[in-house]
Amino acid sequence: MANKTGVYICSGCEIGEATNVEELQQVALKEFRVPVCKTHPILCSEEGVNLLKGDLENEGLDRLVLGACSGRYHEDTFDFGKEVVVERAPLREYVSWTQPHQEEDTQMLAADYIRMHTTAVQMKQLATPFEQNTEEALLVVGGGVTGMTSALESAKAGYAVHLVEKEDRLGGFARKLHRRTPSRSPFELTESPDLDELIREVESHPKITLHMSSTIASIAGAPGDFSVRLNVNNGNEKSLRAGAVVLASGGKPYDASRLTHLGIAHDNVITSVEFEQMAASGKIVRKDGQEANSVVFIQCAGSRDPDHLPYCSSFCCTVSLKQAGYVREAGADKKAYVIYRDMITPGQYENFYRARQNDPGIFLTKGDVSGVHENPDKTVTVDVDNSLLGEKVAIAADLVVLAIGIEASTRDDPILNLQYRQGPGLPDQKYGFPDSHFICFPYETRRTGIFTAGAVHQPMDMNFSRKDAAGAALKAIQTIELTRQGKTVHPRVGDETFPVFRLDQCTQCKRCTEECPFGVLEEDERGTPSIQEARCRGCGVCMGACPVRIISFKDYSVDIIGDMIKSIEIPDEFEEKPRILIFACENDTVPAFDMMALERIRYSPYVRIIPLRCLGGVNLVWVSDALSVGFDGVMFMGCKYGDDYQCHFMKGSELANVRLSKVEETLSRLQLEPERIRQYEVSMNDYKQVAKLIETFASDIDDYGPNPFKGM
Amino acid sequence: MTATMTQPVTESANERVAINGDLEFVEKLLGSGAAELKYCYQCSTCTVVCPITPDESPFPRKEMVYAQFGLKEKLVSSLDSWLCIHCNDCSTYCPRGAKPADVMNVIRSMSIVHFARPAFLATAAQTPSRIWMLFLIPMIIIAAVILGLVGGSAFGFLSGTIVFSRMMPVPAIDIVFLPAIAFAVVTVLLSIRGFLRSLAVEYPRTGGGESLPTAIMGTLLDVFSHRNFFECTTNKSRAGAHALVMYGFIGLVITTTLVGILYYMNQFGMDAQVGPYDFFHPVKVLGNVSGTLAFLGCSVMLARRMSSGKSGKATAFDWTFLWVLFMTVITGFGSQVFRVFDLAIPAYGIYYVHLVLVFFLLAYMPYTKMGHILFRAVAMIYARWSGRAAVRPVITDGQVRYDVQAES
Amino acid sequence: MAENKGLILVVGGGISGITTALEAAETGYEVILIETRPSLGGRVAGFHQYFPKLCPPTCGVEINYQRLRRNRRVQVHTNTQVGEISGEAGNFTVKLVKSPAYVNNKCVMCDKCTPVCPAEVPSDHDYGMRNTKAIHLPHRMAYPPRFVVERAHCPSGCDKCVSACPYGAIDLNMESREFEVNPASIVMATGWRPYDATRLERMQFGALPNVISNVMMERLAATDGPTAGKINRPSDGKKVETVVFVQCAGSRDQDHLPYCSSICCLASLKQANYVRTANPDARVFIFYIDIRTPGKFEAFYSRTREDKNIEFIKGKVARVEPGQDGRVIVEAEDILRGGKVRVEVDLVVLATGMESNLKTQGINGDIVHLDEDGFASAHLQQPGIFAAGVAQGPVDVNSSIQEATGVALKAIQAAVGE
Repeated sequence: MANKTGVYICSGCEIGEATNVEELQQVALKEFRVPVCKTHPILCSEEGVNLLKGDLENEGLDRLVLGACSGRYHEDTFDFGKEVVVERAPLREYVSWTQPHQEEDTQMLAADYIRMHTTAVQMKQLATPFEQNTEEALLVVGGGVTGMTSALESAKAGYAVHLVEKEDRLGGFARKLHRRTPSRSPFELTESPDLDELIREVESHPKITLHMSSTIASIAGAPGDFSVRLNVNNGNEKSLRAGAVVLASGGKPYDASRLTHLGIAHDNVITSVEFEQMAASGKIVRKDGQEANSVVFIQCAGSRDPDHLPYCSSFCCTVSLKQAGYVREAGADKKAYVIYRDMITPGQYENFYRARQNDPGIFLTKGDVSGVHENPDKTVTVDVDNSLLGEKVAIAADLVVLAIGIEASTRDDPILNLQYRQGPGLPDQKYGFPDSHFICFPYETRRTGIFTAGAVHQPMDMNFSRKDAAGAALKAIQTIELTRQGKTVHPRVGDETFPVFRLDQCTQCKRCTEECPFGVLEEDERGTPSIQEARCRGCGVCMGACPVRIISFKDYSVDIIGDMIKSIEIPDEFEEKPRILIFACENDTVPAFDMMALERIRYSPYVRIIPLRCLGGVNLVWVSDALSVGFDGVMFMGCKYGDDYQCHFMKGSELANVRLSKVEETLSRLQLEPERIRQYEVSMNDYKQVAKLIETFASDIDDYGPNPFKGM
Repeated sequence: MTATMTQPVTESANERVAINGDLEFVEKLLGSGAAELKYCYQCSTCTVVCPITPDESPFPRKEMVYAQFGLKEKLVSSLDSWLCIHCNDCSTYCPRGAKPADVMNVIRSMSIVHFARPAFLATAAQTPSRIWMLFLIPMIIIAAVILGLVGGSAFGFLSGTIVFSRMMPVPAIDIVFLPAIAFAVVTVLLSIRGFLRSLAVEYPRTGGGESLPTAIMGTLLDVFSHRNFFECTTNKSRAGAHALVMYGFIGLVITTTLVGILYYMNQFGMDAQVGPYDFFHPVKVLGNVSGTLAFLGCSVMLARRMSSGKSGKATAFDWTFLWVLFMTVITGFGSQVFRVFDLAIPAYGIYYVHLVLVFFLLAYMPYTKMGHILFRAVAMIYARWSGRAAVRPVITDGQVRYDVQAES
Repeated sequence: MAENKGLILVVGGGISGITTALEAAETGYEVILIETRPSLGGRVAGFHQYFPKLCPPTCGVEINYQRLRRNRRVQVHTNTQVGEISGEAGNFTVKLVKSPAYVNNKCVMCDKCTPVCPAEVPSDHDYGMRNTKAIHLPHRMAYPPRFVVERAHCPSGCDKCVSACPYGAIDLNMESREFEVNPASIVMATGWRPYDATRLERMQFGALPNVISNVMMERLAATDGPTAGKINRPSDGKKVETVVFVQCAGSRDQDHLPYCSSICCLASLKQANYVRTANPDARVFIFYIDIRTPGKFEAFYSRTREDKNIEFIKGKVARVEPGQDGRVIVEAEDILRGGKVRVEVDLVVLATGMESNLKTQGINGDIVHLDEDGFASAHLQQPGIFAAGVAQGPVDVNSSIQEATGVALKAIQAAVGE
């Protein structure tokens, strides 16, 4: 296609005062011979935009470099359709608002940004969506309340659903329930699980296809085109296509047999699950069949306990309050004790707590259970320390109920049996729950198009599961819709560029297939990667991982960045103008630089900033490029990594760190200080620190002296 | 199903205290004016806002959890419930609406009843439906005396000038009231003995205790100054009212005693004037002044109780006592007024009622709220003697240290 | 995809509203997102960090703004309020009133205006802990990125900013305009406000400068806050050595908010960490009734508990008094020890709860129905009306977003009219 670039320099926002705009124009015209290079006092104004539109028309331009503000502003103002590549050179943020005006260094800085971005824009190609025959139906795994809700909510929005349940009837755990905790104001009364109603709706909905007594044999493919094989109990197999998957396989009660310290071995010590079924059956009795006149509920049985479940299962308090009610309904003289560590009834569940407290026969105290003993008459005595009664007390009862917690059903069974190079299950997050790591994006997943809902997602109760079910369903539907258009999903929603492999040069090193955070890449038996575009999020980790540089995006590649680096003018060492290259993550660090500009925070004019989709895209060849053209140091600025990582592509900044650690010895071999290459964890809130980081780095570089390879 | 803090416990639980929630007792508490107690979630706001609780194992937070579990033994022998003067600050600030002040109040009545002997009288005094029995007794006795069965003068007194001693001569009064008082004193001592015994178990004497005389002096000072009462913020006016009633009552007791003394001096030929006294006679003045004080005090209290709100919930126990007290004063004045206006029937009639009420107050002291006079005094003395004194933590910058000091 | 029949109106541009709007739009539906304030972002825009990761909200907000900028299906209207609502699911008629910001989209945030502006205004965003000029940027993450004039504070006749603006972006005569939309479904994401701590009569908020609320603490810790992230005493700027956190300040209280606000425990744990990071010698006391860290938040609680300088005391603070030289004395019972404690500290932070804006401000017409706690519970609403985030109940950011995502699907159902 044509390749006609126009360079436009805005002289507003002090760019005109800070730099000599004519000279900048000359850079574009002389060095790059661009056909059009103009300047405008306010490029974002109506006249400015009309100027651009006019030139696109009349000059037949298809590429624009805008020497104006950061790409985080006026993105829509400067959107001229898919056919025009727009490259933003942030002369405002990186020059006029952060550098002294009319100085040689400032001018050089601005000129370099014109060079870098003109170089880039000329190498970029138009994005084109991938094409795929997209299946619209959802696959929902699990026929419990969560799964049924996901299915129903999707069907109500007009989407076909395959609902797979391993048992021969719907309902899941909820079938065991006698009553459920309040789901609606005033949050004081328990409710019927009204399961039949839900089951009826699901069974009768024309858009829902039920697959009972079935489990997932395998899932292969990608969003929009998953091919699913089912094992049916009767030995048959079924296969179907699905566009996206909601995993609602629920949780499983914690294995109470391990709670020996709470007397689970005794006759009259049972779990909250057993008690629920007992209540449903209508009789609350001891093992010997006698009526239980007093029942002690022990909270956090196995939860909030480093030896068992280190987390809080979050529903046990409300469940025990509910079950204490069962005891009381059995007779006016019946007594229920609840021994809790913290009464965890958040939100409006507090109303339920208060309502239950008001039952004269429900005795509640905070306390630590230190022992559970069986008495000769088979009654059980519970020893409680630090109780509110202030003493070491002992409570004897006919029956003891352990409020047990929950584990993710995926803990020791992948369930989905994904045919993915990176394994059959969902990459677990904390405690075996395949949950998102992000507070802001609870449905983020490392297996694109596959979402979890309900108790397999996080420890949650049935009321919240219903909401979660709808959330996961929406995300699944959304993935189908975006995939249908050949676009990427979160966080680069709508992106239409995908890695392209020059496989003839592939060495089958498998780094890309191993490092991809989303398990996008598959391998043939020789280890040659193949891509499933619909799984891809466009972070570029594979690109950074590839030692032979055969992976590139149409508008983002090792060559483009490499040439940007090479386009920068490096003064020789005698000019004493060091050069520092900064690779900046565009999600957090680039905005941080914009913040600095907003506050006019100054920093060294010797830095040149190149934005990256993610630090994980760093290819080591850039380091050698930078050093060989004479950069004195390179700073990598990206998101926090480690346990509480903030990288939107999970492992990007961490992988960058691993790679950079490998450069060190190369540098020392070249007699270069390894400290010339450094990685920093920068979050947007640290924008005030960034200038200091640069300052320190620059002064260290001064100490090391100029890069000996300068001008070679 | 009763809470026995001392029942033998499975050896596994060695020195542990067995807790057995006493549902019946909880329901009794709920039904006797502490209906909200179960709402308490143990935040202890009550304890912090309480102007008079000591800092170590303060009240009423712990009493609330005892009450929720129905730990009767702990409650009836609660020293702290008697240190509480029902100022109602705790109920006002309780975030849960659990009304600790009312709980403490109910606990007090429970402990009076618990220790009272014979028990059936106590139960009668507690149960509104049976109170009439208690009135019946003095009505009969006094009527009997008047009808001349006991040294009276039949209905002769109806003619001629109204002199109450003509209907009920002082000796006749004494015949009735001295035994009544004696009975009251004996039974009350029984109650107090029981009370003290359990106090000794629950609150063994610690170091910082005062000597008995000092404790008694201190207590008297507290009582007469109403010091603690005036610390209260939400319910201030009650302090004044209570002071009025207390001093009025004392005054009336003194008056009555003087009348008796003067009578007998006169009997033994000494020059002492016997009643009826004219309006400006010191005894009369004392009587009327005291009466007025008591009247004012009672009226304020009744008014506040009826407007409920800040003063906390009044139980049947409180009402009976308050009304009897009030009516005693009213009838006292009434009989005087009708005497002055020379209306025989009403005058004597009201005087009769007056006597019945006085009898009720004195004879049933151990079973009615009247008992609080002694229980409270004993508790306050015991608290000082046993060293249940405030501990004020001394704080430096962010540091907390607990230093024991005598309550200032 | 089911053919798109209708528009979705999202009321409230906080994290919940933004989420519902984006999730629906990215699924292919047309959305109008309105916000009464001059900028999107809502409460989280004022937060320093999120629990339990202690990561900056700006990180996620930035991604969401990227999504908004790139999505043609969401129309954002700030400074806009809901007028009358009528109609029914599938076809509501909603009057929207856009009040003037007095700054148009020519604004480039060059900041030539504030130096010449003579009027100082206590900053909403910083809960009055510092002043801004009458013309100012709502906050660093303002969206749209544009200044706003608080006209009420302008000296009469002053137009210094107008003449100072090189871009003709300021129009002090801008007028409010009304317009009407016909959404198929309406999502209330109206959010919350911190419970008015001056109503906690014993807590001395407002009377003692060193008694602050937890939302103010967020601003003290924020790098772009009034103290640039230094945690100092408001009274004299002295570095804070000791802090008390008062849990359930207004929550779980029949006289104030009967429900548990469900975030305050975690917020205080988080803020205890702010204090400890800012000053390694600082000592923190957290007075609580129950520590509520459900689910995986337990890990954050146990990690925080390992810090020997953070002391947890079971007992509600019921008295606050002035102490020596600016310090504050709080009193509570240390229940597990069984005795009263008084602690004298530099700073007292009231963990105030969340009150639904729907309860305090209401909404025109009989269109949204609130429960006794002031929340728009789902079961009370007529078809086509939904609530997300704190508008429907007290929840944290993570749960708000889960609900907001699910509500997007509900709104879509109404939009496709099935």
